[in-house]
Amino acid sequence: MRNIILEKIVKLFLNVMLIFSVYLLFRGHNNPGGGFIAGIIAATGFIFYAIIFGTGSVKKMIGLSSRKWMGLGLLVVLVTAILPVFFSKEVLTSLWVPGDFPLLGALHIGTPLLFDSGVFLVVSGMILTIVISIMEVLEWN
Amino acid sequence: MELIFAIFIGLLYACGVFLLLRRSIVKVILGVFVLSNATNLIIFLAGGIKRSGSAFIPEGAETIDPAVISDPLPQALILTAIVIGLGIAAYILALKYRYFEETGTHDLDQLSKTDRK
Amino acid sequence: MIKYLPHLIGFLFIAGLMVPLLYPILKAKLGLFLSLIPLTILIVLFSALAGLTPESLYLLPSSWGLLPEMNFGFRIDGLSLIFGLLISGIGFFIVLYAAWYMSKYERQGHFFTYLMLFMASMTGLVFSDNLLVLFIFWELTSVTSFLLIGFDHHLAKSRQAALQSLLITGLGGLCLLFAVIMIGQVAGTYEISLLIERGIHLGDHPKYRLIFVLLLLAVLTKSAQFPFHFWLPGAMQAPTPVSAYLHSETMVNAGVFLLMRIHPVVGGTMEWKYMLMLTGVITMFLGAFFSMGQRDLKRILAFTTISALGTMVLLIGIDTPQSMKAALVFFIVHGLYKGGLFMVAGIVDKSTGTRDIYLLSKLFKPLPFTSIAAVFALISMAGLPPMLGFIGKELVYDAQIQLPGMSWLLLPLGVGANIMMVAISITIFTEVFSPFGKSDPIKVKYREKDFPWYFLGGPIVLALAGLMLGLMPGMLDTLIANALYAAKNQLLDVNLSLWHGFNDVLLLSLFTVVSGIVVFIFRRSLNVHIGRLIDWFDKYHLPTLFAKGTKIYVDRAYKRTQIIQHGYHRFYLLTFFIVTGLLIVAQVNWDFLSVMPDGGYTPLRINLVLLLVVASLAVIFAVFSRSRLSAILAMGVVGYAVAILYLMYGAIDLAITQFLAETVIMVLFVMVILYLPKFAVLSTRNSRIRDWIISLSIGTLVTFVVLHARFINLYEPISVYFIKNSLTMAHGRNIVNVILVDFRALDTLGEITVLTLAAMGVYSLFRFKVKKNKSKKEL
Repeated sequence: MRNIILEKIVKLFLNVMLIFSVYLLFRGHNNPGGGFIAGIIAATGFIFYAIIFGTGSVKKMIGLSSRKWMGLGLLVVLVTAILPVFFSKEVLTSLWVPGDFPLLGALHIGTPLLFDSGVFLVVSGMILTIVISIMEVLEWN
Repeated sequence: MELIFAIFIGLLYACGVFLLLRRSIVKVILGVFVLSNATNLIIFLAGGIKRSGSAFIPEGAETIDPAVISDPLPQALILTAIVIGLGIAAYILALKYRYFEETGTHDLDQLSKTDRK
Repeated sequence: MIKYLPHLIGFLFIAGLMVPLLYPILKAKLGLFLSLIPLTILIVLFSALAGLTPESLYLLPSSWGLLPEMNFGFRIDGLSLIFGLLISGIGFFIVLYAAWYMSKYERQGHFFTYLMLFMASMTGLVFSDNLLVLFIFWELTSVTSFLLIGFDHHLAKSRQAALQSLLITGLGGLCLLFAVIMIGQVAGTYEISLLIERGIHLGDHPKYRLIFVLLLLAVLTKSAQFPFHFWLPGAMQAPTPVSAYLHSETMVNAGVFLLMRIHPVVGGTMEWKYMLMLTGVITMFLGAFFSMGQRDLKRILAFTTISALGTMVLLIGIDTPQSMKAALVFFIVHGLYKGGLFMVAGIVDKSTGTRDIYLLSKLFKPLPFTSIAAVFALISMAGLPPMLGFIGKELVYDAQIQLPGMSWLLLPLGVGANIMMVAISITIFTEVFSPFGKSDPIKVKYREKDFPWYFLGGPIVLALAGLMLGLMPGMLDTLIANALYAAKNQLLDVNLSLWHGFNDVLLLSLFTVVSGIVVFIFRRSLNVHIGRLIDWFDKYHLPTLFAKGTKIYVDRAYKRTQIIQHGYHRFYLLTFFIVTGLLIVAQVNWDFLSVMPDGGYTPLRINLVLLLVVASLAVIFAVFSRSRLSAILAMGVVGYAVAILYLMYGAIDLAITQFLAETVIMVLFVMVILYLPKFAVLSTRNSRIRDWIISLSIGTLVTFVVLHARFINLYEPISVYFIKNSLTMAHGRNIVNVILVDFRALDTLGEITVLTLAAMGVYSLFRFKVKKNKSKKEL
């Protein structure tokens, strides 16, 4: 039997969680937060969604399979690691673009954020992969 | 306080080791969880608990006196350790589930034949 | 030109590794292409011959090496030139020969890779000026030989022979390593040129005997001396080019080379003389004797090779200038005729499909040029004029006669071995090639004109070289004099000539030939007896003993392993915990218990103490709980309590992560738990009590260690650096996050890789399951 109130709440919950996780990811360099925490939070949102709507709908929503998501994260991290080489710096050195941005004000935008995004993708992808695998095998849907 | 902490960690270790020595695989997994928590605590304690300010540089300041805030390095180490612990936990769970599926037993002594020819 | 030799050797290695890329382009022409490299080396070495005087020595020092004492310096003197010329010269013909011989094999590329790598390491071995480098090349030849013997790895026989040879030569290699290190330690250098220059001789050193025995073992195993000779006939499982190259010309001569190379440092003592003479003479005689009873052409040649190697070791053992000269000439002689004969054996095999000398007959007609080459080589092997073999044998007799005191034993055995060589040579000729006789000619699949020139070229050129050097032996004089100078460190006039005048050596030769013919005439009845002896010998045969020995060893090792590796998970852990605990107890200095830490303990915080009490109760409950769900929930309580602890001490990021991770773990656990069995008490009461004692002591120990850890402050904490530079260098105020993504980003990179692997592990564990379910449904 469908529970409409629950479904609505879960949808809302997912949206809030995703927005919150992105927020945490971006402020992570200066305030509590960061890729690891944001990744787990995003994954939690998806877990609840999967419990209510089944893994199929989550898969549909992500588009890419969660394993490719992890791979993408690793790729982002690797690119970030190798990028400094092209600016004749050592591997894993961070690059910074200081400047004034509209809306955000004076900020330093740099590769650590990219690195953190990679971590975010890997962590959330990992948890999702695990949960989806378990749920599919146990025929939770 | 350090004394209380040390005793608490000791207790966690004792329980963890006892759980690890069980034959039932579920208990062994619980033991792994307990031990990983206890080890994280040891690392945390090694950084010192005298200073308890959070490891942030306040707005407007260039840097902060290390004597005021808690040591950030163990925190970074533990943070990764927690997430790795999550991955490992999931992996053990999956392994345990598959093991139970294949053998129909949760007694680790039944597994002893894999090391013998 | 010679200074490019190291580059050429390196090029051989590269060529070997490039074969997988070259093969698809060149296909059957690969061998022809690769033969250019040994040809270049040969030309370079010939260029070095031009300015050679008996004393000249050319060193190519190098400061490049893997270890401070291990420089890839090269040394070109008469000794390495003789060996190098033979390795590259015969190598050139072998590669050409193999180009056609191996053309039907599917894994031709593999073959040429191994062959090139072998050639590179063998050339490196003879030219290297450093004992450690020499050892590395020595081992590389063993490994490539293993790969080549086991080339037909689908045959159990090949695999067995390959393993046998690897075990034996590997044993020798190990001995060589020990010997080399000891020489280096005693003499203070690993450079051969320095060892010789400083005139270091280890004969009086207290460890001399140990060093010598280790060296001897290395030589005996590599050069297939009694009692390790048996791997060589087994190695005949390899394709014929390999037998012709590795197992008659080059690798097996590495032992002989080592003896000559190291002679100035360890040679000339009583131990040296007697041990080498003894093994040499036994090997020489046994090899020749056993070759009589064989039918397979390659096996006959293998046993005569063993005999020839024994002769060389014997000559080095006699250790007079004459005998050394004889050994060097004999090495050249043997290289020229044996390589040719092996290649002939391969041609015969390809052409008729068999190598059994009693099935083969009258091959002169279909294979005229090959037969002529074979006849020249056989004459050389029998030691008859006008081939170089005659000079070699005369020198050998000369050396044996002149040895005071021992010639009564050596001479009869030496002459006996030679008589059998003569008989074997005549037997091979009459049975296989001779156009006369009653037997019907064997059917041939290929005639000579069906073969390409490069397949036949090798034996013919080698036979002609033997003939030419026999007629003009003076060409070798300077080279051998230089080699003698390198090996014995003394100058000697070398004057080789075919005709020595009428003396007792010539008489002995005549006697040998006549007896050889007599043995040949009575060969049938003789072979029956020898065959019977070999059958009897097979029962106690060394290979069998060796195989048995290995099996017993492996069984023993297996049983011993089972004591430690019993398969009981908890006993592994038990051992681990007890040993670690004891080690900690032994290490820790317990004085700290009476000392307070700097500034004392931090004051108690009542709320935290309460939290810890709750967590302690939860964990104890989890241990004793009979219900899975409540145990897991209790675990969750512990996790959350730890998270609150982090929060209380200002680690906000940690606390958040711990909360979230704990939640996810609980969710996962609850998902799976319903499908898992209920708790049951599996262990006995006694084992539970034992486990409690152990775990409580571990717990106590950890408590002390944690307390102790507060006192250790070895270095200035690096976190101070992080705190100072977090904002200025990394533009971040959250120091923990800055450490994660900037200062220690490499660690994080490794960590997320682990996470990915864990997730993929879970995925694959379950995917297997899903597939199984699906296939069940389909059924």
